[in-house]
Amino acid sequence: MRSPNRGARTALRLVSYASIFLLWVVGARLLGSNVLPGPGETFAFVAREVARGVLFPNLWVTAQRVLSAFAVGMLAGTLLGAAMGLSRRVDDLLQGWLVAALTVPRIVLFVVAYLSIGLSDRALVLALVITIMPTVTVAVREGARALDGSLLEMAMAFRRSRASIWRRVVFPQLTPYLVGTARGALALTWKMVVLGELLGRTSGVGYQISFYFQFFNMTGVLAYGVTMMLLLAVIDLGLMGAIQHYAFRWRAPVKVDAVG
Amino acid sequence: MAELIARGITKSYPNGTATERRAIASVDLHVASGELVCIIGPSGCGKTTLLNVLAGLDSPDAGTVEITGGHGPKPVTSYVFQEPRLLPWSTVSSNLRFVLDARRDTRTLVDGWLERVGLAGRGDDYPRQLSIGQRQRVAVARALIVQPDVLLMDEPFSALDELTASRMRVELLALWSELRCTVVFVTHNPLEAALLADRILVMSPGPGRIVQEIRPADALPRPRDPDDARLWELSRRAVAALRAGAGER
Repeated sequence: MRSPNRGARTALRLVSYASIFLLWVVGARLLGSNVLPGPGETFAFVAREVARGVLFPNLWVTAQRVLSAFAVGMLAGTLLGAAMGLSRRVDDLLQGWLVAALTVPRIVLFVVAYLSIGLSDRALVLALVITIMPTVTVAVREGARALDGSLLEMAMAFRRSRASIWRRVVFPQLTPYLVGTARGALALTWKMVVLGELLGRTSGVGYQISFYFQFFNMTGVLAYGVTMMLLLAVIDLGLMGAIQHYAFRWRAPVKVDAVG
Repeated sequence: MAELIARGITKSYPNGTATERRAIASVDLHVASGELVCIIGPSGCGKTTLLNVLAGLDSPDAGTVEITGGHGPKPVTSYVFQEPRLLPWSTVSSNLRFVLDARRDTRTLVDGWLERVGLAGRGDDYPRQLSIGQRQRVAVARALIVQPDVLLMDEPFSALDELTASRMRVELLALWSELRCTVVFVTHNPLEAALLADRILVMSPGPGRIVQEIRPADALPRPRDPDDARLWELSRRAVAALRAGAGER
């Protein structure tokens, strides 16, 4: 199958995004603004919330919770995943915990955290960490299991230090798994934080959605929802995409010399 | 330069059943300082196992390895594998720097070695931008940049086309005659062994044992001409020794 050129691919992507927008416009027309407010109405609400000084502080509070949970979850998941991938004993020992963490319904985590720790940021961040950690652990474990033994052997033959082997040989091999899982984990944290805030916090985007939900204000709910979506899209496509591009620059297609 | 002495090396591996497969048995090896010794043997006779034990990558079930001498407080060993084993995410220069101590000023050293192996100006390339022969040159440079007292080479040219391999053998000999490190070179190519070695040690099929020694240094002074008929004669002797070691006539 022939892959389309760069211009065609950009056009197809624009069509993809434009079709979502179009469906929103058509849906709003058909259903009426009480059920589904259109883009104009929604973005006007966003502008009003910004002018009132409500949107950005709430967005910042939510972002802080997301970043804290994401950082802790990624770090803990990476360490656990690496340990499980490199040691059969650790893998067997933590297998039960991993399965339990993967299968527990997410909402139960938030409820239990709020009930046991109290309605606090600590409880919310902890529930978010437990939400993403198993996914990160599984991805990194697979990466650690797939490490190229011949490169490790080479490093040992040259008497490299443990730190040097981790930094120069192991970590680069885990990077594809880390970057892939980081994108997924960030998106999951971003989505779950809204649920957590809705259930038990009095600030943040989730709280604002809950607030407008209580007034059956669909425009308010949609305004905060769309803002979250756009922000995540910018982070994912912009920041995470750039990180991925930088991490894999050595894989870029190149011309190879034909002679020895 | 350093002297390498291995005594009674025996190594077995689990073979999936209750028994173990013995890879090498009671191998004694003495490589004099600055000597280039080739070890030849059929596939699976334990050549790589022996080399890994000498490199300290594998510990033997029995026997000892002793390396004495060298230019530093501890003898430096380095290894050229069958495949280049370069870090694909690091540039050529960075691959060479990887084996050096971080605090040293390495730029001049790295550039110098790249020039010596015919890769001047390729330091910023990634390994995948090089041909397989060029990658193996980087692997040779990586092994030599650490100024090894003992250089272990495991069929380093076997994956190359003959033209590239013959060129690299000549280059290796030039570098060795300059550096004069002790070399243990594993190959399954008797002609290669005849061209390179001071001594050829012939191993029998598993469990590997050293069954015969041939001394090209006695018959052929250096530098050797790859087209010299005497090389073919030595090669035929090595093949005959391999056959005898395998119990063939």
